[in-house]
Amino acid sequence: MKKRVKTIFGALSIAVMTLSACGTNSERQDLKDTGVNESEKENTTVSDSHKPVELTVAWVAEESGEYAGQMEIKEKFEEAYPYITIKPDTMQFDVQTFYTKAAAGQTPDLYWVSATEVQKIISGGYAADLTDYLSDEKYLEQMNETVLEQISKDGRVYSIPQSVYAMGLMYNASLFEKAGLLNEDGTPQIPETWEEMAEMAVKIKEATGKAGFIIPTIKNQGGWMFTPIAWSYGVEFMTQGEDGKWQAAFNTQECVDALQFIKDLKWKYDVMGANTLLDYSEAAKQLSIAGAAMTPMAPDVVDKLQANEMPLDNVGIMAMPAGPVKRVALSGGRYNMVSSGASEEQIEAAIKWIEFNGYGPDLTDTSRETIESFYKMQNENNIPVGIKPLVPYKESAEVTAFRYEMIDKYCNIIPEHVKPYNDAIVSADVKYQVEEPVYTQELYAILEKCIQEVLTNQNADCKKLISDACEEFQSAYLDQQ
Amino acid sequence: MRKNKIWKIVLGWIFLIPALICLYLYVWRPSLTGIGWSFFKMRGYTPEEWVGFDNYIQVFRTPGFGRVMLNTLQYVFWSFLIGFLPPLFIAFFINEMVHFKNGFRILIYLPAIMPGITVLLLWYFIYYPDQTGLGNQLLARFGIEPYIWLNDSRFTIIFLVLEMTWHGFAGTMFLYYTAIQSIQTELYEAAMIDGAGSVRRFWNVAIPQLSGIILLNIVRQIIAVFQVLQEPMVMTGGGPNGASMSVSYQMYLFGLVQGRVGESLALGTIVFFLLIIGTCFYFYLNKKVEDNY
Repeated sequence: MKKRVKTIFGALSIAVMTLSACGTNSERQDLKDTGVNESEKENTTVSDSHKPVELTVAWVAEESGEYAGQMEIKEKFEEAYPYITIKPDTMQFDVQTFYTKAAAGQTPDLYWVSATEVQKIISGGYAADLTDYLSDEKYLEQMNETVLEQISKDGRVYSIPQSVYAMGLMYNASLFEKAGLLNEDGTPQIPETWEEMAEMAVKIKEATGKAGFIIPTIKNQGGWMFTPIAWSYGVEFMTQGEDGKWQAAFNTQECVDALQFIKDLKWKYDVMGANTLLDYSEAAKQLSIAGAAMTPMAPDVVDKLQANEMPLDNVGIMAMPAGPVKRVALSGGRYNMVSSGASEEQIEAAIKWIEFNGYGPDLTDTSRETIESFYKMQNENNIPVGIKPLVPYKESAEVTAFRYEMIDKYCNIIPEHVKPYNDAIVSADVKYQVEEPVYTQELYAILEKCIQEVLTNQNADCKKLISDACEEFQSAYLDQQ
Repeated sequence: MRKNKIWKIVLGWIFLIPALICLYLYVWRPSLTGIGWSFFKMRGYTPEEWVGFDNYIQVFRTPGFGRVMLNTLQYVFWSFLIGFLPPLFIAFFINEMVHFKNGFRILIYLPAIMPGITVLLLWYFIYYPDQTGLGNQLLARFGIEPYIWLNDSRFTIIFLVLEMTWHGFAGTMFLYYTAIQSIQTELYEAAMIDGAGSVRRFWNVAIPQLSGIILLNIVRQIIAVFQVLQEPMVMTGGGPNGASMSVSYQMYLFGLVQGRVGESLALGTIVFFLLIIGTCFYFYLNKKVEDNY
């Protein structure tokens, strides 16, 4: 009878009971140590200097194209460090389940999370302090400063990033071709501004009947996508006063204009497609099956395109168009973190594993090999290779150059289709901005409602929507600090 | 004799214990902990410090909270309007059937055995707002332009309720069907001898006999629909512009997405007490109904 309410209630409270059942982190540690001792008995070849260590690591799903490659790396790693045993864990990062698992001490020793969660996880006490283990000074010297800020708290470092992305405008080259928007050399015509993008979208709609441009609008992803567009219009969503308190600052003409632009895409240019309630996966699907021509997307989720069997020749991406004030792309990424329950030996092993995978600042023989085999595997599994990611380390770092070299070598898409994006990444033509600092998801939820309103109501008043949203955000969240 | 009686009591308890353990572990304890913790500042899922009614105040200050409550009442209202009568009619209809009764019963029950998420995805495609949507393909046969279905914020809840009714009516129908079957056949025969047709038999024989179970089902339905979660979560994300956000979905977002566990527990407690009131009402009616028989 009260089953559904119990589901929610149960999920919350049972999580705690599981916690008491599993014991505290330290108790869990004891259990693990026992496990280690057992394997010690089996493993007689271990040298005296190293105690055997078992490390659970968040793994890719078995169905994923990357799975085989990961297993191969594991094998090589265990050959190189015979005292370390890597145990793949099925946990996939999902913001909706992560905190329950973390509270119950059920995360693997090494896991990755998305950039937005890093600070929350540090505050929640779920991540180990890595500072003293980063013996290599290059970590801090060569790390990109924005990234370093994201992974530190009070001068201590809690994460080693795996990949960093800058959002781009992903497009379907076949629709571009039909609309005559591909140049002779195969590169697309590049919209410099959002207005130009809208005009191109109109051409595509006229030529093909498909939506020219779509953005996700639900599950906070709509708010997420709206922020970079608004930044390019010059919007600052919040400012921090001298007392450290945050103030909502987006009740401005710039923000109204940005929202008006979204509204125009639907009602003036009429390029948005009929479905105005879609999430990121649905947007990726529409792009893959040529139901829509352009959508802003983070290039680290190209496997979503593969999942929808998008022909590799159709994959294209370019830099985000500029707004009236600046050209800016949102950046985020996958950040490796170590569970706060991990032992010293496990933290050391985790860092070795990260470096072995080529995510450290040093370019060693093994990391060379791993980076190369990673892209080779992706290439063989038809996961699009050719889009250059941002690298957490400065451009001068050797590891950055090698990574780009390998991407070119194993490129399996038409390079001209992604050239405008890669050029922008390398030349740093586009500014990168990280997500808003506080109450980010709440801000997205509020902005998203504005977007849904302008997309479903032709008479929506952008000015009033923004002013209400700003007031709500201030009173409901920022005032609660 | 006396020993026998004690043994009966002991035996009774032995049979009860597994159920009691489960109830304690999965219902009573989480509910009570949840209510208790709703007065605490939560760090992750660990209570940190006593904050009194702060979490409750936060819940009421959440933008659009009034709308969420109102939406939930709308779900209840429309599910009553749309979902209440069909099971009753169909149960009566099946009871009156002469041929193909069993086959029809199975056909009617099919939606209820489909897994929830499958049904939601199926209806997602039915409601897909461009020409590829199943609903729109049907409209196109009649020369009607594609309709935007769930994107039309005026009717989003109604469309979701249609899906819920389709998926859920068969269970309720069987309750009615069994009740109809238990009506003494003499009553029907007497009515038929007096010349009553199907409609007459429905109104003057079946309905008065079923009034108890009908009342109970209404209360049950209200309590169940008040907790609607999957439909807005899977099909609309609560949109457009919060038009289909329900109280359970809000609770889910608080607790498992936004990391505002204290607020989630507070909202859970509010809903819990609202539903306790509903449930007391249900038991009160139940007793009345039982007294009538």
